[in-house]
Amino acid sequence: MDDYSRPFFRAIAVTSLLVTATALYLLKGDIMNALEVLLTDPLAITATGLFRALVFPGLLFISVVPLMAEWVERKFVARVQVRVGPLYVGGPEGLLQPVADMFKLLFKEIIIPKNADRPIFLMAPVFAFVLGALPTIVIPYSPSMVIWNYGYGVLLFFAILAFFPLDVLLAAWSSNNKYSFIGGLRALYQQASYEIPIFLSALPAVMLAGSFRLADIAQAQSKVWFVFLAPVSAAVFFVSMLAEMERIPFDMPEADSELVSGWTTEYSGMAWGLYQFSIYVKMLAFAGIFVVFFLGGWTGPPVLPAVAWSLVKVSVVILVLLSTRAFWPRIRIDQLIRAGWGRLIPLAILNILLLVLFQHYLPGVVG
Amino acid sequence: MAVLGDGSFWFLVYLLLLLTTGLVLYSVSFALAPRVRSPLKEETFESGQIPPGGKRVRLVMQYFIFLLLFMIFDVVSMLLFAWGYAFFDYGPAGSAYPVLLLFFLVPPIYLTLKVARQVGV
Repeated sequence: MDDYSRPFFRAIAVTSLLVTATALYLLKGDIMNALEVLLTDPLAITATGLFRALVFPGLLFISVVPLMAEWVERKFVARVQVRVGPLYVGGPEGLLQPVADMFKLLFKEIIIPKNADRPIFLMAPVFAFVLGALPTIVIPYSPSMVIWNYGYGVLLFFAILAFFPLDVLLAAWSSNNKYSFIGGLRALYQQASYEIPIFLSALPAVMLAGSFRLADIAQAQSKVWFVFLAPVSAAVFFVSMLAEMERIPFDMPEADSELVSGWTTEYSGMAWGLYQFSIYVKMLAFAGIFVVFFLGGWTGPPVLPAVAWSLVKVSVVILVLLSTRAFWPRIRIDQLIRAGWGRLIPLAILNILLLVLFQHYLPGVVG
Repeated sequence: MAVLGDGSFWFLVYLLLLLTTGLVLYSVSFALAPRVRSPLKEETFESGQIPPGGKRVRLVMQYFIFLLLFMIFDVVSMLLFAWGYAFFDYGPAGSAYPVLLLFFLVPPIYLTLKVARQVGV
């Protein structure tokens, strides 16, 4: 390691040690409890909070799903475009390609451009990663499989969501590049414009369930899924989701052919890797909340356990989200903003009005 | 505290775990990856050209009117959430004012889109 990178490494390593020590200190009771459960009744470990935070809806799950999603995306898009996609790494069909990519990124140099605002430039990807993964804390995969069964989960989800434009602007401004800055501004306009449709199209789910708790919203769909009661809202939510994630029909902020790669232009190595990771984790969070709002969460015929239903639905939604990359061209920024304000918001309002008009008939349908 | 449930503690823990993951990945990368400085490498990317002029350009205010509109709509939509929470409790008469509010939302959008078209956005 040369003298130039040593201070960065030292600062980051010391911070991570401090954070780890704090986490361990907070968790000392839970770790002892989990060990005790593991020794007496290994199957009961799934009921402990530590398991949820570390393994299933938590850390391990949200680390594995992005890797799988990346492989599925590359393979799927390749098949649509009559290519073979990843083929060689890790057994059949290049299954371990994303893992290989991750290790490759670990060994790559993080280049800090000239005159960049170094602390912000280096910390923005970490914030993006934390912000992208944090919404998954409120998403239930079964009545008990949720890290924090928060009474205002919907509001917490949208509150965390609102931080993204800030992080994008920080990254764009600190990397001292014109492409980054233009991309960052586009991302700001896009995410600000599509936050309103996403709020207004989430409103029918809250209205029908009468609760901000995501578990209650999923439980209220035991008779009819909300996608049948509020189909327009579901469509608006889906489109806004794509725009918030900067997926392909709405990927002007990182348009490869015009803006190099938008606000991530100057990022390389693991810094870029964290950004990619945050995008896919955000996709998981959005797919989870779409399933809870409109596709009934864990409810379904009792042929499968509740968690399996959730996972099947989330996988289907993620696959549909990924497939847009293969099928759609990019649209212009002014078309995007015009569509968001002129079409999606009136449509979301229309669905709310319909629900108000048919309010009398609804209580019998909502479980 | 009833509304927080027993999991409010896990919010802090989860936040710290995520921070740890990100920072550990970063520090491993810093420890393993080679770092060789060179003036050409650290030049900001501009498709192979030498970047001219200052890089921190002024804000492009083309779409600023939409950001202003966003500030209004953000508040209004959050207020609508407060109504939607008790949608069935109020009944049709109680929904009259929020519905009126929704109708008031349409003219600003129309005007903004019109102005934007005149400005050429």
